[in-house]
Amino acid sequence: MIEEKLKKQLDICMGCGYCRDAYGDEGWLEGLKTKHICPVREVLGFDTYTAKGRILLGRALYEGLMSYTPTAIDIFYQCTLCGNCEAHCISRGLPYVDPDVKVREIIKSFREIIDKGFLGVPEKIKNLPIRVSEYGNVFGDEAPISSTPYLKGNSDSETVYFSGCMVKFREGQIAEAVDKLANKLSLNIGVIDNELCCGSVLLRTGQVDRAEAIMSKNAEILNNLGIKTLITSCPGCFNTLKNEYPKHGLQLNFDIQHIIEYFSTNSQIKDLLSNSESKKVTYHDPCELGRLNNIYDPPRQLLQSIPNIQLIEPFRTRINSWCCGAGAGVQAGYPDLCKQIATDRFNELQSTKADFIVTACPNCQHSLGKVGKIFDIIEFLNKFLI
Amino acid sequence: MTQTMDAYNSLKEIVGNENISIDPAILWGYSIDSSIQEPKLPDMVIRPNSVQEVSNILKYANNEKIPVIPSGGRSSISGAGYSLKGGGIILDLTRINNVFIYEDEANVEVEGGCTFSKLAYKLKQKNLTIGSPGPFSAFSATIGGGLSVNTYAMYGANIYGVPAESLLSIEVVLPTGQIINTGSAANPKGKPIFRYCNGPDLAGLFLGSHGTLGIITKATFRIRKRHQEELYYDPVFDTVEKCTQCAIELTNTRFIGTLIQFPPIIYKQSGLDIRAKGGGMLVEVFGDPENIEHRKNIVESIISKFTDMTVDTPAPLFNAREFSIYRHMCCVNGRWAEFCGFLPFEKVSEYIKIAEDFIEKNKDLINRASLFPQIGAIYTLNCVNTYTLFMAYDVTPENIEASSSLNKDIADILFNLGVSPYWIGKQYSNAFNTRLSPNYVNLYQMIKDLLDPNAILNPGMFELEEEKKQ
Repeated sequence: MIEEKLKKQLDICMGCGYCRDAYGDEGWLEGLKTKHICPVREVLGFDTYTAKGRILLGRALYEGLMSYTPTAIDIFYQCTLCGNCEAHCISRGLPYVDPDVKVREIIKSFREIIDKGFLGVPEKIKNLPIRVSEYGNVFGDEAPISSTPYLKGNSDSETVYFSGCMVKFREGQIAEAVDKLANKLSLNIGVIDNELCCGSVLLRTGQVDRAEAIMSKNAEILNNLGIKTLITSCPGCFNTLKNEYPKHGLQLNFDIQHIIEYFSTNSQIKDLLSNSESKKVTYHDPCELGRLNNIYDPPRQLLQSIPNIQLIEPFRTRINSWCCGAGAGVQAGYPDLCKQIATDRFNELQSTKADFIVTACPNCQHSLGKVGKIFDIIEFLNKFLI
Repeated sequence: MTQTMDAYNSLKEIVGNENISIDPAILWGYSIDSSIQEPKLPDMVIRPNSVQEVSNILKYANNEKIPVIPSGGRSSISGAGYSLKGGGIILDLTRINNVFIYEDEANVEVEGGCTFSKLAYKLKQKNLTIGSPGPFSAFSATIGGGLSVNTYAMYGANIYGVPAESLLSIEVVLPTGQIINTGSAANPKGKPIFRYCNGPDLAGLFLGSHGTLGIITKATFRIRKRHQEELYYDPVFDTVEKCTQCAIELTNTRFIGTLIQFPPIIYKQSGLDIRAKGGGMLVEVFGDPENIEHRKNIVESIISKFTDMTVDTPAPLFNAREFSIYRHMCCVNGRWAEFCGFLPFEKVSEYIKIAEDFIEKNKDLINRASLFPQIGAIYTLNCVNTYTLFMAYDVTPENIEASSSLNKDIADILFNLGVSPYWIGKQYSNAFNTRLSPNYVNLYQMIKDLLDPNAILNPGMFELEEEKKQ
């Protein structure tokens, strides 16, 4: 089944190479503006790392002209699934819809084939499901970075905060910031004591069976909470819970919102913010929030609700945003590659000469934060609370 | 394998470990261009960073008699920029991509691995252009590759012709590793400011040579101010003849940027309901604030002599920017074989009739393979560029084979009509030998033998070696 779908996808690509470069402010569609397309190709150099190159390699693998060598396997795992190639793919056609060439699906399918066929999943990625099944998180940590719960909400709250692995175990200050803002707004947000990894990283690294196992457990836990809304700071968790769970037959009985959506509709926030000094801020669009879920304006509206704050866009922004390098297991499996992509992106953000760099994704923050200072958007808003 | 390993060990000294690979997984990414030809694996890929590195690589390859295939964006749809025979070294030239704009001297120097879109963007920031900005694949197609395959650009073709029309000079690395500059830059004290001087126009020798005679590592183009205004028209006509005559008159105004003539079938396929039996055209007028109104009056007056009908072309038709002006009607995705080439104005109506008859005659196969035929004539300076293709949106081996087979048949017919293709590639290499004048082919063979005595550059292209053996 995977193979059948995959064959069709591999065949469709016409090989125009729009997935390598799209220099300038006039892409082939209005709104496309970038220089290069694939952050991995820009670090590793060879065109094989573009979507077209991976597809050509994929065809050779599919047709048995090439075997699953360690390099071939790496080529399919050295992709952050940022979706920039799909955004610029000529096969998006008219009207401007999803591309016919679904590069992310192709990559995930090959990862699934490699995983199911025991063909040699890279070691650091192979460890992820072991950690998730034993510890419930991708880091394999036994306890969160600081004491839980971060949020002091009531257990009977209709809205709960889903931390996700990165916030719970690495970027705890984000949850604390959410807590602070929620308290200021007198919002009753609960926490989930026995929250498990959403399964996102396992899904995106092709380890579908193990992902589904944890997703199923998680769905049961979450559905039993009796809540109306689940909010999360992590675009990966958000996208997985909102879009991937139903695709895997798991219906969730509550609304799922990214923290940005949740707070941007709160009209009281603006009245709580004060700032007398003129400052510039630039915003990094996380791939899974922007390109995958089309959430571009709400974070900007939130930032612009702070008095005397001027928003400056980096050259590559919104649908053209450059990846932080962390996605889809690259941070775990290829930390050097991740760091180089992050450095490239951070330098671009810094070149705006903004006083602050802000994002809305704990994974982006973790990756870019290794290069320089970057704030989570809620953390940033808190700086200006009256 | 020993020769490959020896070459690998020697050449990595030139470009560094990270810019050379003999790993098959990496090599598959360089196995084909955008065409429907069969992929072939090279032995090695190298990413040089300077003309000197290119020269050193060629010196080594020439000594060792190792085939070298210069490669840019590999976006050709005729089979170019990859190893046609398998094996050899792919030279990925995309690291050599700087742009130097000399506004005072009205020229731009651009390195061979730069994409057409990057060049256009850099120039546009200064309100400049080389004229015809680059092909449909401008986001990946490189300057060196484009010039080597006689690239064609639809946008602005009516007034500017092809990108090479603005060419002043090129820097080329010969198969033996020597670096030469053409035109005024042939004088070591000179600058690349003029093409036709210092003896023969040697730049022309390398244009369209498909990388068989040398590797273009730099080009200098004349630059001009960009137009500020554009107007669009989409008239349709009673007869093909009226449409053609109108197109010729519009072209002769010398201020039409782009003009594409379509037969009726194209409108029908695109879901545009027109009653006109003669098809129609898309017209793009270039101008500036001080003359656009005057041009508008002239264009409307010419069109009104031939028709009062127009069609509501969907806005997105023109929304695809300068590298792909009418993508809605043409190549959104899918795969296909295509025959493009030049004809005089007087044969446009005949071409359209031949192409439409061909589609009618082959409609069973076209329907069976769910193919989407495309026919058009792009008015280009003093002639038209005709294109005929059979797009397979439902990409299966059978449908691709059907597209390929129809392309071969129509190409035979159109060669006999006098069409001269600008791409040759793998697809028309055999035609190069069999359709063109023997004296022309012999002269080319002599030049090839002289410049590339070991036949290392792009073997298989034009099928010259095969001919020599016979």
